[in-house]
Amino acid sequence: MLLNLVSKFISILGVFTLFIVALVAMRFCIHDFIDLKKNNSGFEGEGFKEKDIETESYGDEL
Amino acid sequence: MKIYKYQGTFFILNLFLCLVLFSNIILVKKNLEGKLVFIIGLYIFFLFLNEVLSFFVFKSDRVLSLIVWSFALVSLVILYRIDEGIAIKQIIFFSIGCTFYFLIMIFVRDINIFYKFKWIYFILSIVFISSSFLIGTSVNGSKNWVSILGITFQPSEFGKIFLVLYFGSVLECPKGKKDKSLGLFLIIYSMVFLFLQKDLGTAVIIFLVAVFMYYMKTSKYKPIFLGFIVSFVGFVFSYLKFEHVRIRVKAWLNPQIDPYGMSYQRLQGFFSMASGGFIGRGLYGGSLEFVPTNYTDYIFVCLVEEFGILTGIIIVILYFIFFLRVFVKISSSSKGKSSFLLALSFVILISVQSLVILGGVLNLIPLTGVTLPFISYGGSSLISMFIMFAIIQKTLGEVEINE
Repeated sequence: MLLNLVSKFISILGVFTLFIVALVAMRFCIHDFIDLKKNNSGFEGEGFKEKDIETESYGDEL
Repeated sequence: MKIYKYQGTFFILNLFLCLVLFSNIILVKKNLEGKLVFIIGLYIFFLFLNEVLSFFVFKSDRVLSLIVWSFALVSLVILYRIDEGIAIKQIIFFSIGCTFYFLIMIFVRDINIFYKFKWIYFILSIVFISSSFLIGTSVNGSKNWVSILGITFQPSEFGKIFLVLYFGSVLECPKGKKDKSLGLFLIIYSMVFLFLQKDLGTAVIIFLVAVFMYYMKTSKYKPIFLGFIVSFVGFVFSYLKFEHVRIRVKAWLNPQIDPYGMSYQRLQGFFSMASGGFIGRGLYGGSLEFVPTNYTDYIFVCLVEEFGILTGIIIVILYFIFFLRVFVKISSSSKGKSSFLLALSFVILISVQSLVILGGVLNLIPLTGVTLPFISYGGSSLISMFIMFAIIQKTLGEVEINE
């Protein structure tokens, strides 16, 4: 009985730890997302820029 | 945010999760078996090796590593619960996958090197996609296994990688109409052979990834609509042509149609998940032996039964974060660079595969036999996932260096 209870508790602790893993991962993801918004960078609905063969650049970004 | 400050925290979190989950097994079984020591030892060894190498040798995204290593751990625990022999095989596949991962991370200096071997990818794609139809054996209605020198593997899992690499090379460095025609030929060729092998799950995944890759490179909406129309036609065709597709569609529309026959698997999955409740029945508390294909397609069901729907939700969230993390990271630093096409394609492949199997298990779409990335049992699947993961990590490592 006691063993079952302890086992159940550890099982819940496992789920809780996995939850912490998700929270930590989400925290970093959200921070990156905020940085992205601040810098106003990223995709602008134009897809990737084509590489200019002559100048070896990707348009006016670089 | 400088992530390397938290490197130790990620390692400790993974280690703690490992200790908690495995101590649960030891507590229930009341002894520490040699097999379990072997699994724990190898897992911790590769966890530690990743920590050391990513600190001293290569740059990688630590959040993604945390997610993937957690998936691998959860997989090992539930597989050990289902069958100890399978868990031993899985840890060996995990070790091989990790070795490939480290090799790619250490020896590949520039991610652009992957775009230079398109003819090799073309030949390998053709070989891997068609080999199981020509010399393969049939399992569960799909002919997608090949046995060479006593080693059985699923060639389409590796074929997926070479197809994405080929499409990436063609889209990145197009050489006129010839490349476009060959790319289109390869899509049609793979679809035909995968349909003949009745491996419809992989066909759907490859098709969607090819369409998304084309869209990401060109930003044209037309192929997306065309892709959906072709998918619909393909679905209708496969429904009319293949018996096992008809069975799966009928079981999807009405899971109670034949409880002891065609919809047995689906119903057992529902009962299993329902009995798990919010926090699960506890490790070894469920009746996983009643769930068919419990260590491959239905491993998510087993997790939900023993660890609760909460764990199911967390796993879905972790897949979502995996997807979002790569997109945000690349879009924040790679404006204008097309060398990140491969990483985006691979992350889409992993996400689509997760959606296909999770949607199938939860009865949102008809069930197709694909594995749950990093969690389901399967050597070919796990090793190919680690190769894709290495390419994604390599790309994100370059992003970190550029910052």
